[in-house]
Amino acid sequence: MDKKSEIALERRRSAPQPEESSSPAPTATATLEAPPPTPAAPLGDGWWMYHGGPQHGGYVSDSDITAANAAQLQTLYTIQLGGPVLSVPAVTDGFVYVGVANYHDTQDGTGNGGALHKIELASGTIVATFSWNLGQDNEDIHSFTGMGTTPAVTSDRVYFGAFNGKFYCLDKETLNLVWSTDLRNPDTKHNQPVSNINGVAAGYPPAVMWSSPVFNADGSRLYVGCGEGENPQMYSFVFCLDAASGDVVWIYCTNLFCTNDVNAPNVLPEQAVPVIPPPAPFSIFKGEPIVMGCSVWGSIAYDAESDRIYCPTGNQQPEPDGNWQPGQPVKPELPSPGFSNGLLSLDAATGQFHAFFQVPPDSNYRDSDFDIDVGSSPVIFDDAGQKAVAIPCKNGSLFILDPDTLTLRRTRQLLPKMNDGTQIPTVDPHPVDSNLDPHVSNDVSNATPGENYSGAFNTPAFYPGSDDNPQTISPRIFVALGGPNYHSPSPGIDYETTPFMRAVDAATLDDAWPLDGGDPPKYTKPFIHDDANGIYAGMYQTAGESGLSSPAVVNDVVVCTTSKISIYAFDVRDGTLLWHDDMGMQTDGYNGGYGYCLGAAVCKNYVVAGALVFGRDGGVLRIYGLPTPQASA
Amino acid sequence: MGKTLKWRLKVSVLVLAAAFFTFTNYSCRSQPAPATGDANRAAAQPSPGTTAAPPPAPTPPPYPSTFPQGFPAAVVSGNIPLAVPTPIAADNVTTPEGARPWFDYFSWESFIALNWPAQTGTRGVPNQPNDPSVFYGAAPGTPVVWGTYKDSFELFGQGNNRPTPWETYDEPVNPCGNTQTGQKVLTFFSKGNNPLMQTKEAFSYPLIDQQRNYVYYDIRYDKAQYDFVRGQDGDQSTWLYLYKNLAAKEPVQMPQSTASPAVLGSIMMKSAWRLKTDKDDASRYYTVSAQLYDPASKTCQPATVMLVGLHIGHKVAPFTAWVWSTFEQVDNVPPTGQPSPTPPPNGYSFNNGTAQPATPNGYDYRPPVDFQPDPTQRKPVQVTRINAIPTTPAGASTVEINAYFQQLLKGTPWQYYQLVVTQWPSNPGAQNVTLMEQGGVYPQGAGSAFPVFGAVNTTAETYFQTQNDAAGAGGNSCMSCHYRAGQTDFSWGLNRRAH
Repeated sequence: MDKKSEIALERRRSAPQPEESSSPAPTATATLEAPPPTPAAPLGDGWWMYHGGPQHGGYVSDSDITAANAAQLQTLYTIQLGGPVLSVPAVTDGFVYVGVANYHDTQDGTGNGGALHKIELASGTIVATFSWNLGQDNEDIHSFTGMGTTPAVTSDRVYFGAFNGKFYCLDKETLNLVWSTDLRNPDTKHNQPVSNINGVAAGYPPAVMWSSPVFNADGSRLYVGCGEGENPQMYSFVFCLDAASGDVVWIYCTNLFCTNDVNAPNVLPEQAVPVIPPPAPFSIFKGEPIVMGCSVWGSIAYDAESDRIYCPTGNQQPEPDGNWQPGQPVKPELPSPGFSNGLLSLDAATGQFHAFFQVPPDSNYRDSDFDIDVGSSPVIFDDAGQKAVAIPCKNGSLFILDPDTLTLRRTRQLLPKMNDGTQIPTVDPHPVDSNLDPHVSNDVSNATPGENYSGAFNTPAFYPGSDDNPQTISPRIFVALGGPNYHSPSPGIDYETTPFMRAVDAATLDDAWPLDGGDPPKYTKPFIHDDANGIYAGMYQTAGESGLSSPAVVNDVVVCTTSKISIYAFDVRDGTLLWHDDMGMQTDGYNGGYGYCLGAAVCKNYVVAGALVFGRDGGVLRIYGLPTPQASA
Repeated sequence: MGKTLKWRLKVSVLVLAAAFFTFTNYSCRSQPAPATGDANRAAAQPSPGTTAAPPPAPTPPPYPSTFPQGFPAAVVSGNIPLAVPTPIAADNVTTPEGARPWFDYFSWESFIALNWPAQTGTRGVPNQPNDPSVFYGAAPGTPVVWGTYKDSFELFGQGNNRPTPWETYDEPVNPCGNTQTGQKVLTFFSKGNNPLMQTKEAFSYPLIDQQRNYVYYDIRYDKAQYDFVRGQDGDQSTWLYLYKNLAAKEPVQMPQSTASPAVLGSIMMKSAWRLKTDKDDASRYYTVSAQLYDPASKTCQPATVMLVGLHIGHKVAPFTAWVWSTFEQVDNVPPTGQPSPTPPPNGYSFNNGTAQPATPNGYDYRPPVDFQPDPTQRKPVQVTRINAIPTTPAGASTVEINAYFQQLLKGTPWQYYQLVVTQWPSNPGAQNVTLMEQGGVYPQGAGSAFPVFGAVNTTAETYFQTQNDAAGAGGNSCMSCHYRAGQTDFSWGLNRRAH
């Protein structure tokens, strides 16, 4: 049962074999230049890139982990990494590849930089580390200095972007540097003409990469977004890089230049190009885009059949209600100008525009929602014989789109409402004064612009259904709910009414798990009484516990991590909580963050998750497994 | 539930049972009798200073038949308990909830001893601790033992001056220079304005009573804790009030109380006070004369203040994560979530006696953090209790133990106080505590705190009553909050105020 494999769909590529690397043996910190690049890398195996593959389904079937034995999962290793983890690791070929957001052990002694570790699954040992220094004044807006992306690990290379605006390619064996391309500053060696530092001198943050890289079908090219959503002067770009050399193949600016025409690839805003004319194939747009922001935060998805990429975009800058004062009417953010708050489809080979979908206004939980953002990554999946793209949004809604036109097939608001359809005051509250009034009525929230901290901040997982005949478990989509938990008006989700993960039937978007008869209805299974600790564990139990992560599905088990900071395994059938573990405590601001685990990676019989937790080290990585993982790993 | 949880449950029960047997054994009297001394209590020297003959101590009432067979005798003593008593086998205690009466007993006996009239001319010493008539006959305003403990300001607020020795009352830095020796100085008008919370801690706001006056807070340490943090004169590395020394020694371990040998360990007290007005019946309160620091004028004014809330944190073996008790004056708020049909004679201190305004999370609003000097501009906070005083185990719940001790203390203002909750690590011992810095998580990392949540005082944690409101503080209980100060042995004062 239950072996319909999505992985097979993602293993369709045949690529030239790389040249043998002559890199030195693994070292604790490797920064030397490696041998010359190979022309094209073969793609990876296991959980080798963001959400398991370029379609981002997050589904694994070549594992022995099932609902029948998930309760036996145990911690194999707990590893300190010298900094917090703000990404999902890659796990492939017996090793974990994971970056840290702030690295304490930088070579320059400032403790301000980043690192990527290679860790042996079987022993939990860090076998190689690649690190970089930033200096004291170089960090992202949240004070992160390292990286927050999942590396893409091919048979011989490791690729990732970092908060310093650089995109790295390392030798897989040694983590020695093969090449790096600066996507923030001009890098003529790699045909990169863009300078994306507007506003930095005025105190705004520079361009960074939160977008994990994705490959095209033959592994010759990779795609990544680079920008910053909190800088009103910043441009946003999608870069296509040659995987072998790091040279820029094409660039697409996601800031729309003209109201009545879409941007062409390789046309760059004049303000972002310090040397004019730029090298071929680039040209200049003179003037200002109609809107700034529109940054590609999430990982781009790739569809080999159509050779298209799908780029999620953030909110516009400036916000229409950025200077709102009490008493003023709300200016709805949607519809918003340009390629903001939506999903952009481009031709993978050329960067040509194909389609754009913007989140519709009526999909907001509240009309007064702003900073809408699509921070998650799209998932390409089999929609009952048709291909589809699923994308959730911070406004709480999930959208199923036609992959060619990006027209909306169906949608659902995932945040709960009362049975009569009214909003719940404690869901997505917008206080006028966050200090003084934590109990916000619907009337106040609907008349006050505010960010929806209860919505979907990360990527869904797709379960393809059982392959029994007839099928006993329908295909379903799992979406984590709730964002950062440090905002005083809304510390995470309203845990008493809102599940930190919603399970919906892929065909209908109705809840796939049994609900009680309450108002609002809640799942009946995803919690247990933890007798050992005298508490309930699971959904609806812990204040401030948000999903904010990307769930992963292994056979008939869905794994979800939270801001508590905990990891849970549920039965995909009905949500029965099968297993859970606490990874650490929230930080209340220490270590540059507040407590996150952004999701688990599953590879064979291993479940691997990193987190930002309380403690001097600030981060932790846990490797979980079945009691005898070596037997089948 | 998976096998892992079942296994952990078994282990937990076994450890709990083992822990009980390691507690100090009390004699197993089913009916209480006045006690004059106890090996499990901190012995104090009798005071030579009494002049007037106090009234005779009343005979303790009998225990209700529903109390456990092995429940220790209630005593009115000025000797602080040095151990939590142990259930006997016949009481068949197998859960933390079942053990609650023994911890509540410990809380009440500690409450009595700490509120015992203090010996004059010294600090932290009870006056004739074995003579209950001293307690029953204490005049209003008599300084009590914990009231003579060192204020946190004396330890952490002295700038570059070394904190003075324990017995000293003359502090180099005193915001109220006109203070009489031993007179209470209340400088903090809110937890939010308290240096403990000055690092943008969320949800910390002042509390305004029904008379439109602010509630004042006071934090004090006993001799063991004070001397530990003050350190030794000849060894500067032990001066833990200096951050550089503290950080080098973390995680610190403060002295703990033990019954054998009889050692009184670390105790920290946090109290909440409201101003006495002519609308109050002061006979229902413990009152003291105090100097109130006005942050607007930066001056101090004398006032009579009334005790409305009291936290006791006591590090007593084997509970290395401390035992936490919290008391309130009974007129603070209605006894349940809604106003009582028979409010107290002078009304509630923090509730207008009606269901309006609504208090969805235990309060109707949070006053501005900035001090409002004009009382007419202040709006009282309507407060209700969200977490009911425990009604379990049946027959010997906190509510029922309160009723007994209130009867025992009849004739004193202490009869108008109630234990709100006792919280303790149900899996005690240092080996069962894993700090957050070591990867521990609450509640198991705190020695399996019980109860896990919902242990708050309406006067000190007015705005932390629900899990949602307290999420930023780690949870709505003493231990979930103080677990986050584990590196400094669960003391937020040491954690935040070392300088």
